[in-house]
Amino acid sequence: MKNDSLIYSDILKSLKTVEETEEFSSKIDVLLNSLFKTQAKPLEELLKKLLDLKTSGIIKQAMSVKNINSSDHAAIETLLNDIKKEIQKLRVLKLYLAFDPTTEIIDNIFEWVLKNIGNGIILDIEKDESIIGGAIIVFEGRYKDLTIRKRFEELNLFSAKLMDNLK
Amino acid sequence: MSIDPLIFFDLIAAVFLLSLAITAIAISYARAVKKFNSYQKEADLLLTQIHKKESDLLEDARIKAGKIIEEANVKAQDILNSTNNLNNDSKKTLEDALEKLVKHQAGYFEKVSEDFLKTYQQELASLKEKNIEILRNVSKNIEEDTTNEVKDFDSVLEKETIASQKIVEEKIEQEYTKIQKDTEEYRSQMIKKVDEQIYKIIEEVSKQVLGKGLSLQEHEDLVIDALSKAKKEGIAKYEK
Repeated sequence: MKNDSLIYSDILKSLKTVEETEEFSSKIDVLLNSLFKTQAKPLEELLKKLLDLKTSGIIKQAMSVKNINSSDHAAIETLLNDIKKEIQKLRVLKLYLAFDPTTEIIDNIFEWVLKNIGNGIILDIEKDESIIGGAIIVFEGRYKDLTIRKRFEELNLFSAKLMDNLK
Repeated sequence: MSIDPLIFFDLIAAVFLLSLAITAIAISYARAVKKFNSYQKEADLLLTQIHKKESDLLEDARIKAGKIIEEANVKAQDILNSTNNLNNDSKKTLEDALEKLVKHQAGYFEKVSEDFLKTYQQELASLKEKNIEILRNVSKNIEEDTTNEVKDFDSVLEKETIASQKIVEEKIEQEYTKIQKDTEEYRSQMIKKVDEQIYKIIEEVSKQVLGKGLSLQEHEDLVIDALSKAKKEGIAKYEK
C-alpha cells in the first residue's frame, strides 16, 4: 500500500498554481457539503456535477488507492479532509514575470521546480512589465531579483562609477 | 356850644405863661449869643496875638540861626584857610624830601641796575652757551633717534608690506582654489546630471525596446535562467 503522503502528493502534483489550488479547495468544500445532505445523490453523480473531469479523476484515484467505497460517505469525507490538510501544507513560490505566461510555460516552470527544488510547491505568478525580462523570486522568506531591470540598474551604477573615475 | 369861662381863663393864663416863658428863653438866648460872640471876639483876638507872637518868635529864631550859621561859616573858612596854608607847607616839605629821596634812590637803583645788568648779561651768556650745548646734544640725540626710528619703521614697513602681500597672495590663492573647486563641483554635478539623464533615456528606451522585443520562448528561457541562478545562490535546496 502506498504511503498516504505519497498518495496525496501524486494527487497534489496536478495542482500547479495558487489559483488552481484555491479552486480545487473550494470544489472539495462543495463536495463535502453535498455529501451529507438529506437526499444525497450518489457520489458518481456528484463528482460529475460538481467537479471537472480532472479533479474527479484525482478523487476517484485516491479512493481507489485507499479502497474506499463510493457509498461510504464517511470515509470519503475523511479522505477529502485529509486532502484539504495536505493542501494547507503546500509551499508557495512567488514569481514576478514581465509577461503573461501560457499554460505550457507554467507547466514547464512547474516541472523545473518539481525537478530542481522538490514537490509540495505551487506557483504564485504575478505580472510586472517593468522588470523587462527574467524574474523576481520569493520563496520561504528569501528574495531574489534576477530581472533585466536589475541588470540595467547595475549597469548604470557601474557606468557612473566609471565616469567618476575617469574624471 | 359855649366854653366854660374858667377853662377859658385857664387857657388864656396858660398861653400867657407860655409866652412869658418863651420870651424869657428868647431873651436869655440872646444874651448868651451876645456873650458868645464877645467871647469869640476875644478868642480871635487872642489867637491873632498868639499868631503874631509865634511869627515874631520864628522870625527871631530865624535871624539868630542865620547869624549862627554865618559865624560858623566864617570860622570854617578860617580853619580851611589855615589848613591850606599848612598843607602847602607840608606839601613843599614833602616834595623836597621826596625829591631828595628820589635822587638818592635813583642813584642807587642806577648802580644796582648796572650791576644787575652785568650779572644778567653774564648769566645770559652762560645760559646761552649751555643751551646751545644742550641743543646740540638734543639735536644729535634726535637725529640719532630719528634715524633709528626711520630705520625701524623702514624694516617694519618692509616686513608688514611683505606680510600683507603674502596674506593677500594667500587670500587670492585660497579664493582661486575655492572658485576652482566650486567650478569643478558644479561641473561634476552637471556632468552627473547629464549622465543620469542619458542613462535614464537609454534605460527607458532599452526597456521599451527589449520588453516588446522578447518572444515568449525568450521570456521563458530568462525565467528558467533566473530560477537556476536563484537556486545556485541558495534560495532553495532540493527536497524530495
